[in-house]
Amino acid sequence: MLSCKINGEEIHSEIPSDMRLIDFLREEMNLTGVKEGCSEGECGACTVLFNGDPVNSCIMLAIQAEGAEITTIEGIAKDGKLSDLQQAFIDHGAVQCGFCTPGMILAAQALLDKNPHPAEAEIRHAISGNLCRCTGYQAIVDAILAVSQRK
Amino acid sequence: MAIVRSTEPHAFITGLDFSELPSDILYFTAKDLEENIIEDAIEDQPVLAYDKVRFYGEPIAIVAADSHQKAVSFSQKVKVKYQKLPIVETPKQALEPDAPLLFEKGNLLSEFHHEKGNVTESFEDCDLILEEDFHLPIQDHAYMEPDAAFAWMEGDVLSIYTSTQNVFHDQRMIARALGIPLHNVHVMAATVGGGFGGKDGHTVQIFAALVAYRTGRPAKIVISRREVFIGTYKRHAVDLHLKMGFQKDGTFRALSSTAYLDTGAYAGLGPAVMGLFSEHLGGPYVISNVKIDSYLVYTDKAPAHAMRGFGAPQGAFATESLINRAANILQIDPIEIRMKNALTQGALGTLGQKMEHVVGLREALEVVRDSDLWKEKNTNQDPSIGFGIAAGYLSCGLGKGVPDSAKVEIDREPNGDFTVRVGLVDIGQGNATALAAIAGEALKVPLEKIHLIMADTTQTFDCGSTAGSRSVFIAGNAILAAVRDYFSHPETGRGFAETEFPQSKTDLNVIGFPHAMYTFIAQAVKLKLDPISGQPQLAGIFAATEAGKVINRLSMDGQIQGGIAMSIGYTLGENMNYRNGIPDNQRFTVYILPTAEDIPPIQNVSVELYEATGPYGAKGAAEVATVVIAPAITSAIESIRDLKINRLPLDFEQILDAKEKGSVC
Amino acid sequence: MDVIRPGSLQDCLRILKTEHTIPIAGGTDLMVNLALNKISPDRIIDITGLQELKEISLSDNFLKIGALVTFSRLAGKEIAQYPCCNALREAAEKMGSPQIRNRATIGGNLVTGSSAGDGSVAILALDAQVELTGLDGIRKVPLSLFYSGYHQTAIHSDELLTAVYIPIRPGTSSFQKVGKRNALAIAVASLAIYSYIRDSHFEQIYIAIGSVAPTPIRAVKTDLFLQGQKITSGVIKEAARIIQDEIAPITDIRGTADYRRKLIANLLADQLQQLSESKN
Repeated sequence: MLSCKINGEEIHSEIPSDMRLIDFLREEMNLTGVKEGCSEGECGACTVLFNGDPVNSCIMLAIQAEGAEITTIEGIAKDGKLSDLQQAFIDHGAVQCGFCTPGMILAAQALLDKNPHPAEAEIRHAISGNLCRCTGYQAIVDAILAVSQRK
Repeated sequence: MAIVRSTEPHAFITGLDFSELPSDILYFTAKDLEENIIEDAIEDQPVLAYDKVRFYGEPIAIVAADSHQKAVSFSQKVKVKYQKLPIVETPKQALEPDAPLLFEKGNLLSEFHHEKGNVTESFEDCDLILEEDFHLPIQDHAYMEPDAAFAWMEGDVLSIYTSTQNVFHDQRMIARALGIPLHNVHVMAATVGGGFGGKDGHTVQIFAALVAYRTGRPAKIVISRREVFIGTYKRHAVDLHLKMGFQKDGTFRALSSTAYLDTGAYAGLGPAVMGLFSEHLGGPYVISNVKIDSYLVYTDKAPAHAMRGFGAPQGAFATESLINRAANILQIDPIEIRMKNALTQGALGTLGQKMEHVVGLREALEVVRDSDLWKEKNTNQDPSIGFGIAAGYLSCGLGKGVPDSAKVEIDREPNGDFTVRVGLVDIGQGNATALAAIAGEALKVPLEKIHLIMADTTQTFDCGSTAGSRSVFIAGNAILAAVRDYFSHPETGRGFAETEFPQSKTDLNVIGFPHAMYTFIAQAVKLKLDPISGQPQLAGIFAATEAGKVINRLSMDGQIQGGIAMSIGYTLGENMNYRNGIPDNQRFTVYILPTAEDIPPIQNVSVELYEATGPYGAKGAAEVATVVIAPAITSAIESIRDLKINRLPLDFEQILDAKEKGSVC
Repeated sequence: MDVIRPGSLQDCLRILKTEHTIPIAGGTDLMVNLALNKISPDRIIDITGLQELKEISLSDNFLKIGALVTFSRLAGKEIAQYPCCNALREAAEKMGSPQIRNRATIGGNLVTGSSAGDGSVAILALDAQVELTGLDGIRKVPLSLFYSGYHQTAIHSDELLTAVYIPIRPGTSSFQKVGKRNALAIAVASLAIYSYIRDSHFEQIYIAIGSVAPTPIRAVKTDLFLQGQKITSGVIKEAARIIQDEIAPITDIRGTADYRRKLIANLLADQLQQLSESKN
């Protein structure tokens, strides 16, 4: 039995003990914003926030989330309104194919939660675990910078 | 679903044993297909290998179960018996007289020869001749989304969501392989997680369709990253010998090249890639005397195919490298030497094809010359910092002799909104944004009143592939024509039009090239060499792009930045290295993609010339940025250290070992 | 495969006694090895609930770092206050990616026994000891004796690595690595130095290097040479020569043996140079 909080909601679920966190989130919770790009923690598409910190859900067991708070991209918009970061990603053209975007936004959110005014180098460091093949990262960095400068 | 893949790079299949599979685990082989062929330009690739495997990772059988995990674990229990064959590892080896053969017809798939002017004589007149052997590696598209498909049956109709660049090609491939009528195959593109050419062909579509069709049950397939590496299309590796002759004043007088393109085990779009390689090899310059000999050769590797840039980056690396070295030797500024030889509208390209459309290379070079990044070159005092530049171009459209049209329909809805039907796929590059903007502008309604329906074989007309930097141009023009049609009889509430891509007037008796229209770039880089490792740290890139008028600046800059990043990877470390027919690089831990900390700030400035035949003056822009950043980077390194970089990816040890420029030892 | 979450360290050690059972912490290596079918245990014990393994404490001039302390924490201010542990902080900062650092633990890094383990190389230069806990008791093993071969360590299958002890003393340490890119990089070569300089001479120096042997190793001959020396350009040159002779790296997908030798020499020279500049 797994008990944890997912996107603010208390979850109690009977799951196989060897289930990966990504499979639990995608297959059991239907949170398909969690993407699987490499299955070994190298691409960051499966990033979720684990007690506020970005982690790769493809190399975690679901039962390791016992008692934890998990946030996926589905938990970022509030009351149907996009978060500042989500809106900034749209405004700056930071989304192309969109596959890396959920993980990228979560990694960026975790950075801004701890460090609201990061330098560009700190932003690049914070998203260095999220591979993007489309954008060359520039628009992503621009979007995160814009949000940090607004606050 | 899971795929049983070859564990041998070259072998006869002598037996397939499924006896360890329980009855609830289903399997499918070539025998389950009506016609075992992947429909394409040259039809040499089976959907499932049956008598022979030609590359490590080639699909042999499909295993289906009620869970992915089960399918994968039972696919490992399928036994394939092989009779091993000697491996063909490189194009040159493949062409040796006693080489093992992939196909009975021989290992040479195609060749192209072209001569313009008098090369032999003109080399004699040159003040400087440079020639080198170059080697370019195999690159993987490395789209973030592994290939996937989901198929199901409704009555006689097979519906399928695919990760694709061309739903209509998928429809034809599936219908033919399964032997069912075209109208019973309904293909829709899912939101595609990147393509870059790698999803412009067969990846997994027929597999999902086959299982759904044979079982009547929904079938889902998602392949692993390892399967993407070993089993899907790649960029062609190229070995070429390039010779260029220059006059003292910097005139490019003669060029000759002999190139071997490694197309892997199957043709894919290889012949077209060889065509564009040859067409773009000389760069965006006037060169009067040209001799090009290109060979496209089979080897026992994953098939090479379309990849963003489509053969141009390989040739440009060689040509731009020699031009930079010549500029250095002749003591001519690298921008000036390009200005001097630059193509202009009406001039003739490498193959004698006329520049029939707007050409903005000189304008792009001027923008780079005036950039802060390039000006810093003159004031820089740090000997570990270097600057490099290169220029290039890339054709738009599918090329001479290839059907290249789009059919678009516009319908006015009862509430005054418009539905626009375009049979192309947005593979992430943003053509949907641009096309909606074009439709909104033409129909004089705000964007939210435009509803675009794309990539659905029942709801749109065939507009061909999202490829060849063509989608905004061709579909944009079709939309504009359909809007004109609508305004000519608005009472019908419907507009319809089909338009064609302009084709080159030059005919070389080949299919797929040359082209009539090109997009132009100049790109400069600043980098610092790490004295400990010999690795360059990129500090900044400035790009100038002439792609006609810009429809959407964000999308445009995104295409340029993304294209540059992809070729930074090509330069710094991406490489599928085959040893004894098996790739070393089957994971992201050893196939080194650049991270956000490896890519520098990239600024793009668009030189906005008006292309009269384009929608609102636009040309294509999706691929061109990949073409020349590699030679700009190596030129910057060669300005710091005394070495010649003739192969990619960079060998950091070679750089570390090279002496500092100007040092005495 | 069963995964068990024990309620206490004692429970954990009891379960660890059963056959084909392995512990999982951050899982950043283990989950990958499972996916690659490199390992197939019957049972996995998830130890991430054991709070007592997450502490960092100082007593008797030893910094005790619990096995479950993550790399993100190692890169933070808890370690930054000890100059002699600087190498560990720098290694932690450069290891993997933010996601990996948030899960990967120092205990996991050590027991994995990878020659390229950034944390392992840094700690090896710090003259640390590891605490191995079994049902029969606790033993402490100097890290220099911990590694026995390629991915082999002195830990028994029924023991858990529970903590690392680093002596806190005067002096500083540093860590540098060369990877194939700036993040998510596995070391092609790495080098860490702990040193204490008194009156311009090395009173104590320990050099550890990674990715040049089956395990992280100490460069003992180079240590011996540098002991008592004053840093001059001649000494740096000679030390760089000695360390290249001392190692026997291999050629693999990430670099040639020769390149690794040069990298190690350059990394050593660079860090010695920085030491000399910081003392002037």
